[in-house]
Amino acid sequence: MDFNKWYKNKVESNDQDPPEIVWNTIQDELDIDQSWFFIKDHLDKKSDNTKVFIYSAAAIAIILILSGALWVGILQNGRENLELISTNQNVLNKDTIIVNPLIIDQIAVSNQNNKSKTQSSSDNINNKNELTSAEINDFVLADELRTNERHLAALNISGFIISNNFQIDKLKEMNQQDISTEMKTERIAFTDIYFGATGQFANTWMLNDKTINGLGSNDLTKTNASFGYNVGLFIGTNITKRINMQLDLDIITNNNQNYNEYINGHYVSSSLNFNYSQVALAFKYSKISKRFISGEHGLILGGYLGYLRNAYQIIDGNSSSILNTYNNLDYGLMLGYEYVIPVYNKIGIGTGFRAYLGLQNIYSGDNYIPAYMNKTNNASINITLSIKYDLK
Amino acid sequence: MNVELYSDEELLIGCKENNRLYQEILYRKYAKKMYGICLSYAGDRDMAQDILQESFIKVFKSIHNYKSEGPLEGWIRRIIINTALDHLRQKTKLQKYISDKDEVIKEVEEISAIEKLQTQDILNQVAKLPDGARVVFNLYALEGYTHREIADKLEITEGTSKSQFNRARKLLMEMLNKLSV
Repeated sequence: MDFNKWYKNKVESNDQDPPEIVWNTIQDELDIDQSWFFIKDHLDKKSDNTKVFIYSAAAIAIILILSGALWVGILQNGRENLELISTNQNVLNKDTIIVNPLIIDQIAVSNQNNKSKTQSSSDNINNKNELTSAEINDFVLADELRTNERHLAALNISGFIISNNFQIDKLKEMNQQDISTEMKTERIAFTDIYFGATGQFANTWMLNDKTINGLGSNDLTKTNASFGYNVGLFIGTNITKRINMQLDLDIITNNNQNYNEYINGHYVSSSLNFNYSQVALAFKYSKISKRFISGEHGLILGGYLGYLRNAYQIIDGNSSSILNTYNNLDYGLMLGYEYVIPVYNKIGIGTGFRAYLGLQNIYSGDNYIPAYMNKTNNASINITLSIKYDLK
Repeated sequence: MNVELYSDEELLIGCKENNRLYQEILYRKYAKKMYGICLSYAGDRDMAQDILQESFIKVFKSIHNYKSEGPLEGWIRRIIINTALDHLRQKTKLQKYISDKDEVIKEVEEISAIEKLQTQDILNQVAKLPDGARVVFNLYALEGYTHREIADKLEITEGTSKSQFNRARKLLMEMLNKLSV
């Protein structure tokens, strides 16, 4: 008998069921590994998300700056054209002007065609520097008035100089004064009263150590962008010529925060949801503008006081009330901008943004975590849409 | 669950995707056989279970590295053997127990009655062998390694491997003869 072969056959035919605990232990080990891979993937992805967020924010900022610059440019251009149109009307009434030789050439060529003059324009350039108003009027009637704005722009570029005691600056000044006279009416305090309704789409944040650290790529908690909405009414009146006082009553104010966190070996999605009703008192600096689209610009600065009506937390789909662990009241600052466009009679539609920052630690603490260890502040950036009615 | 219905190729694809079902099927398909091998190397059942468990964890973690160049069973078996050796090294500092001294091996007469012994009885006797001798004997008799390969693997001399094998064989035959009588 070949002992080795015999032994090999015996051993290899000895199939034995290992205890079930072996497989269970293998599974546990694989679970731990898989959890780590999940965490690693998650952290890598979060790092990518942060980069995307930063690049997106930078891109949006650049677009906004460029758009703003373009908008200002368009407004400025429109204003200059208006001034030039105004200037043109005045210039055309004057007896004598000195103009750019290039323009004189254009006028001379036109005159030649009309009056069959034989002299070349270059030979008589000096003689043509002074033109009668009748000649100019003929030319304007024939050509320039039809393309008034374009031609005026050309005149402007060519260094159009007005003589006979006319200065562009003075014209501009007069023009501004005219506009101001139209725009401004002397207002006394509490003479204008308005009210309306507002809706706000809010990007809300609950700022505390966990959510702030969760914005970084090296933390196990991942803070996600959260959104809510506000609905309310407002009433306001003027207290000086340009400053209004406005009282907002936001009946529904949502403040939410979504995040993912690692609990008991699992990543779960969590959210904190707060429903407030809040009152805000703000001062609004208004300036009426007729540039581009006629409307009212308003800068808003004020404070708010919020009452917490309901608060709950959702962890992995399970909701629980957290009303007792958060303060009933919240207060803070409010900053905003609004642009109101009159749409019909005394009705205007306004749009803009507001930023709210809570000054109060809304977390009141529980048996496990005292308030000072989890300081939490509300914050939000809102896009606003409002409808306004002027009573007086 | 009839694990034989699943081909190695299917199991490989599933395991490479970390699919737990396929991992379990692969385990159940090969665990019985591999456990028997673990028992032959380990001195006791607890160690055999540890070896099996650790080996399959290695299998699942490194299955992406399996190149399908040989049978899957052979690959798993190599992992089992290496894990078993690691365990034995940790347990006994194996080399210390493998003496370089050539022992005079007296031939033991083989009794035909041992052929009738149950496998479990044989394994029980194998477990009584000194760790070093048992490993050398298993590597030679079960895996078919040459003494040169065993010497490389265990970092011993070829002569030591031969002497340890002969020693293990003699001891085992003695024990089996006694048992069969």
